[in-house]
Amino acid sequence: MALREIRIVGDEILRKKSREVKEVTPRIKELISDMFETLYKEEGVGLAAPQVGVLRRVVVIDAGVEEDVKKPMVFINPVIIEMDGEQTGEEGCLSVPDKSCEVRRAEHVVVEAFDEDMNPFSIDAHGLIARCLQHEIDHLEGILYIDRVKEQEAEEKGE
Amino acid sequence: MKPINERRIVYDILFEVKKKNKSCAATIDRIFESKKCSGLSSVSKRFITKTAYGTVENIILTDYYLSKLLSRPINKVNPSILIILELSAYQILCADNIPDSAAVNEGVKLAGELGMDKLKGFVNGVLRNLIRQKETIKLPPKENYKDYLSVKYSIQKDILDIWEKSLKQYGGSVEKKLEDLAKNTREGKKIYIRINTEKTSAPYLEALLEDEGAEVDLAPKCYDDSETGTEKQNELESKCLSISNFDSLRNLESFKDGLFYVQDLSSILSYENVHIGDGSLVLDMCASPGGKSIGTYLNVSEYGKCTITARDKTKSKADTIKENISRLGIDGIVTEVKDACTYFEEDFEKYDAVIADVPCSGLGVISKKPDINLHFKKSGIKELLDIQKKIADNAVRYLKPGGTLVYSTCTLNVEENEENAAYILKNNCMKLIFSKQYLPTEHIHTDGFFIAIFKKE
Repeated sequence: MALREIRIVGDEILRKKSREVKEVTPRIKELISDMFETLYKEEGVGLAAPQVGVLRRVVVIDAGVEEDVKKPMVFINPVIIEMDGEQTGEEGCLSVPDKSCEVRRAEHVVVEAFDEDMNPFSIDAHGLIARCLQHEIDHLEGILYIDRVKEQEAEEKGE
Repeated sequence: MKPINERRIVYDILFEVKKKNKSCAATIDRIFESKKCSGLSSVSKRFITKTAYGTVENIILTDYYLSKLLSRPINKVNPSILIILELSAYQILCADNIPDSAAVNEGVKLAGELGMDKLKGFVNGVLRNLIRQKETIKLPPKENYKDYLSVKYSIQKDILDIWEKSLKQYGGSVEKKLEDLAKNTREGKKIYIRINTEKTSAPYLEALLEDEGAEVDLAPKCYDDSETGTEKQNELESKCLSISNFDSLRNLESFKDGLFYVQDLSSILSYENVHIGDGSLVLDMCASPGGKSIGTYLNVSEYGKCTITARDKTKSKADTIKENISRLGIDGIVTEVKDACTYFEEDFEKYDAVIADVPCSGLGVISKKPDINLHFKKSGIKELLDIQKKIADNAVRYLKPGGTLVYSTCTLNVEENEENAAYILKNNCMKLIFSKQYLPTEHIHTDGFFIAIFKKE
């Protein structure tokens, strides 16, 4: 177990596309456990592998804030297969320090992914978890939430 | 993804409360409804509410400590930085479950988030000094007891002076009573509800609220030293409950269905002394949000019916009354927009009863509205007294001979209460029937409240 360094906006790696995970090797297992340690240390709700400098399609989320208990979730090779509705809310990102902005996201998503043992599963998520999944899956494509903010501002001006 | 910075929201609330003279409750409601809070969990909302209220409640105490650590006067500190220091100092000095280090780190982070990177070191330095020195900084000596109480319970000294004057009328050791009163502002207050007896009954509502997850208590035993001195509990039990442990009152189905109205026990209790006859025409001059009208209407409904005109000076206030009476489904109350300070000829000797629950300094409800203590200015009292007297003058004129006048405030101030009652008695036609200053320390869990009831001869 080790803490990993969070890459900050400006770092090229945040702009790259991550590769799929074919097999959960001991290195991937270590990556996942390090990502959780880093997530808890930084008090985030979600973290994507490129944020710690690893271009693999791995996302960890713990939004168990409601009951104050940990609810760790691992998503390997996550894909959004359905999204609908709309929610607007404030987002921040561990890779974009001291900043937060309003972002428009889908209210509901269905995501398919693999767990730590490479068993496929799907999740039907609303609200905060849905927002967080969209935010983290964007990271795997090299997209940051501030890009979404710019897009949405441009759209509004265009209207 | 990073969650919303809760302390940033607390900061936004405090900024608005301090700089724009807003109330905590309204500011928190507004900010929680804004988009930036849409993703907040109920745990976060509770933390934010508690920290914002806690900071406002303890601001004199935190400023006292901070001023001992600052090399320049506290009012010279950048206002945004001062808010960060105050909310962090509250966490360090008063909150139990926040580690000191977290309070400091979050305070420093907040300065960065607000674009004041250069002042991060200053915030860090002051707060670390506070942690080191908090045990050695002494409160003012107890001999200067008002200075001591003012800092210890964070109540403005001017308010303590006014309370002291009020307590002196009733004799006994004032010092002890004053301390009890100051201390009382820190005790959690129960929320009381006036049951809508037109629609439901106490046992039925009690079961319903419990089904909705709220904790329900019966009205406490209350004695009232009115003519009879009888115990009021039995009567109160049928019209009043106290509730706790609910997330949002407004979201309860029983609230939406208008089965109750939130009203403090002091209000419910004191209006038990108001006797209005069947068929009476009643005027409530400063009626918003409508509690006195609703309470009076329901009281009269036990034996008859009255018609109430609930008046207030702005449309939005009148709309609030309308909203409440329509939620409760009461049809005997009509609203209108009229300023109580203005005399309306057409109302001369028109009413059997007039309720003048006048705008006041609110010094009896500080425990629920700590912003009153924050914003209180002694110089503002004079204007209030003028308004109160004008309203009282009009009230007397609107009464039919034989009619009843109810004058009430939610404050503890001789000038606004007893002296205004004496002012009303200067009208030779007015006779005092009953008057009482309710103290939060005497009647368990009530607000500070004053009522005087008169008859016009």
